[in-house]
Amino acid sequence: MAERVLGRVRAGGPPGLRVAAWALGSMHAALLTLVGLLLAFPGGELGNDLDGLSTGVGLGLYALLWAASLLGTAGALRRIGHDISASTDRVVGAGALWGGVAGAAFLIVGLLALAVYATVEGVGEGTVGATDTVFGAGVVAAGSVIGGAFAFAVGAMVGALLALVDVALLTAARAVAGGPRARP
Amino acid sequence: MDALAGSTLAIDSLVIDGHLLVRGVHVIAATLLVGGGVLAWAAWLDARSGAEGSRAALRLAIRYEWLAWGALGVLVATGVGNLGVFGEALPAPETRWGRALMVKLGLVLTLLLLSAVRVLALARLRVDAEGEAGDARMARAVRVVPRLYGVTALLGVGVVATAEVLAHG
Repeated sequence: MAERVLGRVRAGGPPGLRVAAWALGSMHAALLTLVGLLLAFPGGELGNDLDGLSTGVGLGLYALLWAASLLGTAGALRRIGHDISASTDRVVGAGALWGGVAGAAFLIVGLLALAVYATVEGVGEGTVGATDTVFGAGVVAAGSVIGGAFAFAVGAMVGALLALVDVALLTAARAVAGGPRARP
Repeated sequence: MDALAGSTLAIDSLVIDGHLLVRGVHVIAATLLVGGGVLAWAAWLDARSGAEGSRAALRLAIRYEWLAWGALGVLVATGVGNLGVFGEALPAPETRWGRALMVKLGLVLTLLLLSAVRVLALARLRVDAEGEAGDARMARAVRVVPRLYGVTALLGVGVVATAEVLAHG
């Protein structure tokens, strides 16, 4: 999965933009996590929240967020034709669309991974039979459709916000390196 | 014989202690991020001698950015893992440790955003370096880009210092 996502990032655009896609995709995942920590820690609940996560699951979740973020960033860059001078509207529109795709992908892959883990563990312990597996597959399919639509909406909002952050960062980068201004 | 048994036990604990592995990866990623950043900064300072040098510094900097953003992702993931080890014993935000953590998270956030400006500036330069305006753009870059590398390298050192306070302070 990660290789495929990285392949997509590497595939598109001029060489300078490949590294920008890698950096922005990585930055979005790190930024979302950091903002989450900065909001949760002062409330005093962070320890309890993290206590329920094993190290492996936590790292897996971050890897999934990172991969979804790279997918969304690469997709949004392709949508604007790798033109980093594109207007703010176009960048935010592309960010919203591909943020939605990344959000849905995050939820569906996460659900599938959880279902596979629960099935393998249940079969190993002898507590899951063929009927349970079919029922579980139905639950995952329904969850993917309903939850996927919700995750798309949430991802679209997050993607639009992150695109606005990117526009601000691009403006700062232009001030440093020069080059054409963003089109209005 | 006892010594041999002791060292085998120590190796076993190293292998099975996932938390130690996570901490080790965290430290290695920080080393690559900060050490590489200082090296890239030095390359840009060296590049002030001419256009050819600045193009070589740009190539090195792009290679560093591939590594640095991977290291940053690993740092954030393992950093959350390090916090998770505390579980419910995570110190409260109003303690000295809690305040140090907030400072560290603030520094990491600043480092993240400034590093993004840095890599986007490089991406612009990389795209334009081959064009007609390339030489003029590179001449401007060697004046400004080293400062960005300097600031982010110093911020990285600051993050490492707060990490030391959190671990041993």
